[in-house]
Amino acid sequence: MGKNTYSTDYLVDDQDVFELISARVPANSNLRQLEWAVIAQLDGKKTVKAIADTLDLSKSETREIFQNLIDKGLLNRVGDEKEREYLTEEELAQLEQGFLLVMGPVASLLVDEVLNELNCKRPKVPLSLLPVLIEFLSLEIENEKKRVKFQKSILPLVRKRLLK
Amino acid sequence: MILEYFKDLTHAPFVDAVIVFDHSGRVVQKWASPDFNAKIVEALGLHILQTFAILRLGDPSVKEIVVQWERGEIYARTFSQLTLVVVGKSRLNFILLRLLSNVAIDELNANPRFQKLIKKRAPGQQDVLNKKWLDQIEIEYLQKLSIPIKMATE
Repeated sequence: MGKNTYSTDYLVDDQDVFELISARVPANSNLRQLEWAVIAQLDGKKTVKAIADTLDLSKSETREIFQNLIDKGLLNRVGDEKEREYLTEEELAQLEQGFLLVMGPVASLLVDEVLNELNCKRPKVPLSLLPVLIEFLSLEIENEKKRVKFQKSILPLVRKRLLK
Repeated sequence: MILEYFKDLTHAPFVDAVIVFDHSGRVVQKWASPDFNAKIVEALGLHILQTFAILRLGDPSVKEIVVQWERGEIYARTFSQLTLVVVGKSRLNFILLRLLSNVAIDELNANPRFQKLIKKRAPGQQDVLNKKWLDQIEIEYLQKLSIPIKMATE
């Protein structure tokens, strides 16, 4: 594997869609006029860009307003529910089966070790961790051809659950 | 033909464009989502190739980079015969992209048509730091980095 750089900061994206976490905004929120205007536009369907266009906001204004509202705990990004989905037991078994074919009997033990590293326990493995889980398991496979063979075996599941 | 192998990448969440370069900096194939300005794809990709080339002058083991830009992030990965550049929004899942590209490159390498195509195209070395790709500011920047500019721009 090569060198990796990961960004941990979440930038508000033009295509993100937000909704209010609660139907009522707390009275002590101290929101500015433009922040109220943005809140009035939120319907769980309009994208950040659509709202910015409607209110004629610049990119930096848009980013600042949304970031403030997120920081105040008022917004929920639509789509975050998907991040709370879990792999089914059948899917986890499918992943384990692919790993077993290249690693043999120690596969199950290694899967448990990796799940432990990722701070999750069967059967509650978050779907969002699937790529990391596959990568960590792949790192246990020394032979490059076998590593790709395992990754190929799990590709149908990745396609089904993670790709558009 | 090549993009067929990287099709999964075009379906990954938040991906706006995928570009495949050969090692002489020429576009082999590119794809952009309909809501993305396709005109800037190649320029963005070339910029990333240059960044890559500079980093690899200092450390040839660099195989992957992620660069932030005003509209999101760009993931780039170099393989023995080509470089892959993925342009996306700020929530690109690099681990997923790495997995998808691993499988894709393995299947592509097994394709004799691809091997023929690459043989025809590749001059055998990366020359994206060639003067024809750089403007004066970039040349001065490289010189300040103490990179062997004579070699890099020959």
